[in-house]
Amino acid sequence: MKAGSTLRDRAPSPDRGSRRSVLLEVAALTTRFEGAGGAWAAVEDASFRILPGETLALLGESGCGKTATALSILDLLPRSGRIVAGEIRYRGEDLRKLSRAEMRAIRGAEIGMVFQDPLAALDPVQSVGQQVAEAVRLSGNLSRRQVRERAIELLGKVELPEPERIARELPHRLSGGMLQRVMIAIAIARGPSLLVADEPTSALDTTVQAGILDLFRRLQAESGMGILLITHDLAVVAQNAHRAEVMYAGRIVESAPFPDLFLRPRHPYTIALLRSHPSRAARGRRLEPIPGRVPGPAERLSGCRFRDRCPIAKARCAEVEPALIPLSVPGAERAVACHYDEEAIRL
Amino acid sequence: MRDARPDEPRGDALSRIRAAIRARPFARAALAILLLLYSAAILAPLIASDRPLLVGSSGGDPGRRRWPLLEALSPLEVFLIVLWALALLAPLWRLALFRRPSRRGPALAAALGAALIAALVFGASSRARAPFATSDWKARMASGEIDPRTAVLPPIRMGFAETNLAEAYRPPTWLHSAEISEAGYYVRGPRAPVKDPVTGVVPAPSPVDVRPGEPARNSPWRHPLGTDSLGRDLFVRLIYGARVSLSVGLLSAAALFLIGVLAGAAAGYFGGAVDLLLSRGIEVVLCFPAFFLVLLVLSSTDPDVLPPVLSIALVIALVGWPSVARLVRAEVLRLREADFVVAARALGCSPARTILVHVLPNALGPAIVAASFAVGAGALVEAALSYLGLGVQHPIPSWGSLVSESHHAGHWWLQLFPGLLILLSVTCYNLVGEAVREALDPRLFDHQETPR
Repeated sequence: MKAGSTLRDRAPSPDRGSRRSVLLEVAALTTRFEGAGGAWAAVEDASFRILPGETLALLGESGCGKTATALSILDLLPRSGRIVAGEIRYRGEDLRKLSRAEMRAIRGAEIGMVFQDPLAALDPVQSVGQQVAEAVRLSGNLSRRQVRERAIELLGKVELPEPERIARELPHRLSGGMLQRVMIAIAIARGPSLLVADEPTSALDTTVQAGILDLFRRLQAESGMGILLITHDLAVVAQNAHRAEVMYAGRIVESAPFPDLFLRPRHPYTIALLRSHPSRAARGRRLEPIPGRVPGPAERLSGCRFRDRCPIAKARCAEVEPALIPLSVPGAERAVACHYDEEAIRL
Repeated sequence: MRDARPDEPRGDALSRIRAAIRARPFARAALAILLLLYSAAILAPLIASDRPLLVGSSGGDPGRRRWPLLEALSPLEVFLIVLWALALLAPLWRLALFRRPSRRGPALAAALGAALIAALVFGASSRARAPFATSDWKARMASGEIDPRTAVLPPIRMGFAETNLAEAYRPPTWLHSAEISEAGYYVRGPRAPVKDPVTGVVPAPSPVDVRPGEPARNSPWRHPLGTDSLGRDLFVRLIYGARVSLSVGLLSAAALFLIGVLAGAAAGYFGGAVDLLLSRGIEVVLCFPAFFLVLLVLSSTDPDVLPPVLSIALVIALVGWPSVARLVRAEVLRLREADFVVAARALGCSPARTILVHVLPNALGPAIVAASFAVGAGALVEAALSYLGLGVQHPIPSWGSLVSESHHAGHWWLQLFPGLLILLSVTCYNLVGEAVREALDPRLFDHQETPR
């Protein structure tokens, strides 16, 4: 998919200058996991902001800490995981300081979540209608009939055909695309201001993906909610995101607004991702897979974590870990964590 | 991307169980037999009794009608009978009252409510009742105080505790050896009268007392399965015995299911200290020699305080719950971090709601399987206890205590028929349990399969 093709139907990027309207601000978030193989940081020193009406993409290969970031925001980490540092400010309020009950009031009502695999994320023994109705019921005192009507309305809103019939089906009887729409209906049932979507299209066929991404854009245009879109797919970023934070091995390595990321990538990892995307092959150019793989928690290198896969790595990369430095690019809020990013552009 | 293999069982537990039973002829037959046995147990007072169902007029005040049989029912019996009748008519009244046949909840609630109201009204309105053992109604009919022609009698006109000493240890009456002459002597077989070779004395005859409504002295239907040491009809006692034997199995399974699910869910979901405590508790209970613990508890409980049926069921449950708890704990541990549980929390569900609505229904499969086998096991334990004389109190029969009525080889019917019923019922439980297992056991198919 070409980067420019969807520029038109995307809502204009909100003004990032005003600090007042920040919806979610994650500052220096570090999340550690403990397991049989010892402890490791899944997310290290991650900082980003989401404004109302903005879609922020968290981009990176599997194992880069994207999902851990999302679960940290909602305080849904598995038992082995723990936030050790940083702040998560939702409308200026630090979520980490909230009690369990207060956090529960935030989940679903203020911050909704869409999961990667809708079949696994829906209760296998309840009809999808019941599950949407449960979400509706949590949002307030409604009569049985009102809950039912609202649930059907939501299923219609996510563009499912025959919502009355689909509401009665068990999850395993529906296709992946339909299930993801159900999942989205559940996530928006309580009218959250922020939607966290963890790889919402990765388990779906390409044609179905486009429809889901379309739906996200439409819902965002209607409600003005912010979306944290976690993905490994540049095409998804190109279609929906206003900004992207590129993550590698637990760290954010590049932060850029939408077209700039594609037009003027600065980090060698971002460049490598762009060159390895299948759409490049579709345009008749060589597809260049990134050599090696994302290091596991125990294999992380000192210095720059990407240096073993980086074509321009030098001695200094092994010694000093590059910090995420803001770039002075006029009109775009950008940052990159590379000692040699000027060189990377010429790659 | 779509995963569902069409032959893979999916959907909610009930419909899976239904499909599994429907697909297995043996399980279907077993279920039919069990339903028949349960029907007999529930309807026992209406099937066999020494009381008339309806008496047109009693001596003192002519024209007044009485229902001696219904008056002897307990509220619990009324509750079960009404429920049974409603269940039998279920297809009809569900069609009439609920347009959408898929709504099981309200139908069940309405049936339970109706039966409960019937029982309460009955309990409140009835006068002091005689215990359902023996009555003087037959004597009053025999003496002419009541005209037998105005009485409506139940199908089998004998009570489960009604003795007839002249017929002690009488073989099944369709056998030639059971024939008794009018004088009261067995006509043939080992019990025919023999003159003592020394004294020349012939044993005194014991003429059979045929009471109003009963089949004739040598009718094959008089005692189709023979009688016991007091001349009580074995067939009637087996029908009443089913009430004890079937309810102990069911009650114990229900109780151990409940305890096991609660303990297992708590251990699995909360983890930490709760899990540690419960897991050690499970191990300790599993180490008890269960049967001797049951003996100990039963010999120390007062049957007047806690009816034996309840105490047996409770004790079986108290030693049986760990097996269910372990299964539920393992399932809950597996599901606790499943995507859909995390999704429920992401939606803002409280921990209680998450565990009750999302975790438990998905974790119950193996527990239901274990419980369905526990019904048969509980029935067997009850039979063993009753055989040892630790079960229900005389004169209430249970299949186990009937087996122990006589150990004389000549009284084979007293061991054969109750033994066969125990065998039949436990086999049926296990056949149904096997179908339930095939429907629900995750080890037999991967019902949580998630494509990745």
